[in-house]
Amino acid sequence: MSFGCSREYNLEQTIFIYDPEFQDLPIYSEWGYNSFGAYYDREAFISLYDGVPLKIVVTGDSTTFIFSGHKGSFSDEQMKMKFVFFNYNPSDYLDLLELDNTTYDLTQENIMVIVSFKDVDYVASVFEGSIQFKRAQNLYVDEHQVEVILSGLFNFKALVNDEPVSVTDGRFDCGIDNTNFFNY
Amino acid sequence: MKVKSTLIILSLVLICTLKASAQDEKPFYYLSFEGGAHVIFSQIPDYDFIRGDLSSYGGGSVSETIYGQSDYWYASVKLNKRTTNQRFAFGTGIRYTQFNSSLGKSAGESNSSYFYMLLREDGSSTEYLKVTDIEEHSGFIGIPIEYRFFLNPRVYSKFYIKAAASVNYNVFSSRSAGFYNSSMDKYEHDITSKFDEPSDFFIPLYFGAGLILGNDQKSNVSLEFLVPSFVLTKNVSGILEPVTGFGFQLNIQIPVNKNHEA
Repeated sequence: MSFGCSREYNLEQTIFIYDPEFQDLPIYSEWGYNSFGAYYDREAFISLYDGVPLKIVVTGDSTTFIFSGHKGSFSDEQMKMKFVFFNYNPSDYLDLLELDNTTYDLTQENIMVIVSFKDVDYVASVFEGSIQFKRAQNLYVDEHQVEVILSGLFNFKALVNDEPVSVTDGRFDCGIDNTNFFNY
Repeated sequence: MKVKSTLIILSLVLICTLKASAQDEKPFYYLSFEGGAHVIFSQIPDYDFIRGDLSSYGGGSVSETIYGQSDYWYASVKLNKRTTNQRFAFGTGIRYTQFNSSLGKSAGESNSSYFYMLLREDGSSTEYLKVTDIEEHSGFIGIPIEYRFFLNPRVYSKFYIKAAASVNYNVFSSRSAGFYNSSMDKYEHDITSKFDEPSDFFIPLYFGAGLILGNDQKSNVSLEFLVPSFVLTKNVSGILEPVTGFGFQLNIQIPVNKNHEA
């Protein structure tokens, strides 16, 4: 097995396979399809075909998982959902493997959820919910290490801008490499 | 069920033909040498070890970006019998068939000529390989049965319609994989063994029409177009699900009872 990162352009593309049950959302997958989706109340919040669906930013003593997409199946309203983990500092994307099979209660004090519409941030007061990293895989292609795939589920209820909101059936399947992992 | 029904129908046809031949006082017999080929349209099973890929239509499923292709060719030696009135003909003999199928990347669907296949998962490590194509070749020995009806008998150029089938038994099967990086050839067995083995039996059923040239008491040559062509057995290919197709057949017939009086 040889080590060393090699970029795979085709693995960085988004593959959006619709879920036959939740027809506005992508299927739950663990192939690194670079897609995510959830119902924000009853509207779909889903990844873009041509965007970077997930960026991970490590600054100071916190790590932020930023899901970027749009709300509504037919609208272009930009939306982001950020999960901020305090006191968690992976030094590079390979450290994300320790998230494999872990679940975090989003009501904990060391976790903050931010919902952003058109780049205006709203801190969500979560009173119920969790994010589960069902699988963190170190992906090799033709014996070269390429990326880490994070796949999981999330849902929560919160007050966003003083309005109660339900985020349900959230799922993500994203590849992380040096191009979308930032540590500064 | 389809296989059973076909076998029953063919058996009935065979019995009727044998009865008819018993009543025929002077039937015509021909030794025939034939070869043919069929192209079969196939479905690709939704394999959970092949990664979906970017589709220009945004669907991204495996079947949209990988093509599957099946065909088969055969060579037979048969004894054909025509009724005295030259209206009907029945033939049977022995046939060798080679069934070929392949999986590859659809041209124009993506900017790469390979697809990703899962090699193995070990703890938190997952390994993909870039595969360009998978090919499978299976050989069958079988018994063809065909029934022809001549539209204009007793002339030099005769048109006919036919129904035919064959029951074939698998005598060998081989599979190969092509890799984007040739250094991955060592994993060929790991990749090809992920697919099911082809079934032992292959039973195609086809219909067609053709033209036969030649005097009844001399050698004849026929060319026929076969459509539709069905594959009645499941898993004749271990990598695809053949459905239907079309084909052609070339046939040379040499009379066995030349001193026959028509």
